[in-house]
Amino acid sequence: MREQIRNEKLGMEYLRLVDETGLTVLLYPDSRYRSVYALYGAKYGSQDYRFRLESEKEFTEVPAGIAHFLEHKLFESEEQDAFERFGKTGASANAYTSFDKTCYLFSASDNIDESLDILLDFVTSPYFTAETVQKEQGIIGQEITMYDDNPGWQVFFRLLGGLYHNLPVKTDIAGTKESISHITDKLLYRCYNTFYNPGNMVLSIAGNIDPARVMELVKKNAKGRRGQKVISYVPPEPREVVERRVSARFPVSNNLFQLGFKEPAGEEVDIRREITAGLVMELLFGEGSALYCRLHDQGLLSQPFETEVFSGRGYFTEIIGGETKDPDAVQRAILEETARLRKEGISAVDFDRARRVLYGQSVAQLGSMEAVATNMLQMEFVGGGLFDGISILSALTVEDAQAYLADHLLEQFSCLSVIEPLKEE
Amino acid sequence: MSQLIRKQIGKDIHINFIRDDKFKFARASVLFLVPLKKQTASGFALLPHILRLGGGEYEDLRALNLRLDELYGASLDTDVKRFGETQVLSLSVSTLSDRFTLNGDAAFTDAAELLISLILDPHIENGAFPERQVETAKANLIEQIEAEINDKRSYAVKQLIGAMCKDENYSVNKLGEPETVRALTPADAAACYYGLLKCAHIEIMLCGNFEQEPAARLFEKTFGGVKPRDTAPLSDHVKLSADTVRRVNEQLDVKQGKLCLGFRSTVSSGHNLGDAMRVMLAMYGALPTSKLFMNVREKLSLCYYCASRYDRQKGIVIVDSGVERENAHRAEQEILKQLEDMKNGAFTAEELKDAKTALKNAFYGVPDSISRLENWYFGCIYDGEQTSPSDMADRIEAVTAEQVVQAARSLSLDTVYLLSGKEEQ
Repeated sequence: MREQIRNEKLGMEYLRLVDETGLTVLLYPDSRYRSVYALYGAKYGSQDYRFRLESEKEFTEVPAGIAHFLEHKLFESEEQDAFERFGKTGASANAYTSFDKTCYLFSASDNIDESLDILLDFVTSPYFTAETVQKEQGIIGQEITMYDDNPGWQVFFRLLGGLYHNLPVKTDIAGTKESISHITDKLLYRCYNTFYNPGNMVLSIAGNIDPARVMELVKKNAKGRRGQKVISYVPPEPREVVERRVSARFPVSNNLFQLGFKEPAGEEVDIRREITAGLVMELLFGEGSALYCRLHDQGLLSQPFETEVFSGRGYFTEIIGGETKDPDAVQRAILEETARLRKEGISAVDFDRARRVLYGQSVAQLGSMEAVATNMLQMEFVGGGLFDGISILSALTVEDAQAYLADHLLEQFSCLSVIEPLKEE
Repeated sequence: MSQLIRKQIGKDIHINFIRDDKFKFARASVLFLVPLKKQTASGFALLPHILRLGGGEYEDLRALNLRLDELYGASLDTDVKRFGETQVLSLSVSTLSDRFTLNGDAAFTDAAELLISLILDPHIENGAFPERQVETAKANLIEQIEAEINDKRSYAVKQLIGAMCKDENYSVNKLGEPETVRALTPADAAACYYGLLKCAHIEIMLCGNFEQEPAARLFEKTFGGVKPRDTAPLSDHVKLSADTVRRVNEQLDVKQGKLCLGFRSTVSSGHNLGDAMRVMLAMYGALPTSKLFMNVREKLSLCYYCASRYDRQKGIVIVDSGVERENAHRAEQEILKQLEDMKNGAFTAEELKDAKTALKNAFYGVPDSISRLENWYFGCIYDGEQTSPSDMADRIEAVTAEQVVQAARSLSLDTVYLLSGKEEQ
């Protein structure tokens, strides 16, 4: 299958292909760039630790943190590890694991074919032994410790713990030192064979590429067979939060807070709902909002709110965060402003302002090949295309925003997470 | 495309254009360069914070932010950097290129106009800024200074520099000191403002997809008329070698320790071994294929990260790593052993070639990002040496193994800093 996806206003166009093995390939060629940004991703993240193949009846449970562990281990092979191979081509390579996907990537401005060849090969060539697994437990253990000292990470995971009773997203992406101690080479192969099949993967590349050449390399490296569909277990999750407020003390200078609103969520991602949420958050909490400017003038916020629509398979949460000397006062102000707007209605002026901001920001980033490749991949995993966000945004109305506000961002389903400075001794 | 065009428009005032229409936004920055000194750092650092809160026709933050929203969510950023022993203060605005606005709005020209009015038309009356604006800015700056402890990795590097360069301007905090900031009055701030306009070297950088003519006219008309001018000379003091090794230990409530080593080098900007130093550090500690990463992290699992950084203006190399206390001594020995190997030429021709390939790849990629272009050319301007990234790639290719050894031999260990967790009482 081959389709061309175009946006006239932006003068942008990309190719979407599905090859014989079921692999989806997204290609955005632009020869004005010298570099190439390539991502190879599997729809497999930290939340997928209970799963079954379509033909199986029982779910298999594996230790938390295994997707991230697998990401680390995939760089190794019997001969030379992938970092060393990229060392020969000069590409800058990396990988990351999130809640719902694992991505391997490189950016390069020379030796593109060679680097692409390495990417396509190492991701499809697992090599795990008991010995290498044991060594990695040490390295990842140190990574987990490093995050234990990271207040931004801690405020977020404590919030998820306050919101969710059962969902796996409340567990750290890397797992715990305890959980990763149960990982074995056999379990890694089991997960690899289940999730790393072409039908569950996407290759996304933007920049100075020749699509025909890329497809030759894809064909040359094809090892997989179309695998079975994988079903991840999404445990039932009550609407109620676990706790309304969670806190901890760290050596920080000021209170860090995140206020999260837990919303009902289906197993599929709803792109339109995400965009609507982003727009409502921009108009309520953006830099031009009356609320932010007032809290700033009152000395409660020195920096703009950081907002995020945290959503994926089984979860949907709006998060508003920042630093303040009085997190409870900021929480009250957020709740009051949200309730006021719900009651009094959103003005057309505010709506247009927020939409313009989101439009400007979405388009501006598309000049970066990293952003183009990343967005193409992310949208593909949720069943959309690169320009869908911009089209949905253009079609939204003030009534849509009002309707969203009516049953979202409700106080009784919220949790405030705070990292407080240590007490003076 | 993406070449630097530089033009003088006043005494020590230059405008720099880097245009490329492949991008979808443009960025205008005004940078003020002044010597970094304890007496003036706080006052100057406060100015971007004050100017960000209003000026020209913008009465307050809300009025200003509403206008930015209207300009497609233009972002108005302030920054204070240290470059060698120079304090660099900047205000910049980025927004969507005119071609992509909804009704053909000239968003970028309008945003540039806004930026100019904030800088050149501040709300100073009777020799003082409005008290409220100054108090808010002071609170924001103090919060930012106090927040430096939150990120332990950069905090550790800062503490190392503080100890290593105690009697040099290099160790002066670019953001100033909380108590000095607290004492500044609205009249002091206005005096700093006039002092800055008079003594700073001013660099205006316009980067991205924009029309050159209207922007050039706008800045020439306004900044061309800035008077009087009596600029302060900028220079960086380079201490060629270390005396005895200084050791500093600090304890904080952290789980993971940080080990930082500071070295002096005779090689700084303009030195004929400058290119060799880049290659040497790529081999030693700047890449994931470097000796530090491959040995200290991968082979010995002594830390989660271990990397080197180089300040060429000051001739200082810093190695920083995240280690457990019990591994700190071994990690230090191993970091030094790897450097000895570099000094003794214990590396292969292949390692040399790989490092060059990686550096060239990075340089060739610079023109594909607005922020990297801006940083690259600002570095060139500061060093007084205009080199395009691809010329730099050619120069890197010419570096010999012998030069790499010489560059390594220019390093002497000055200070070792260790941050560790508090011992159990």
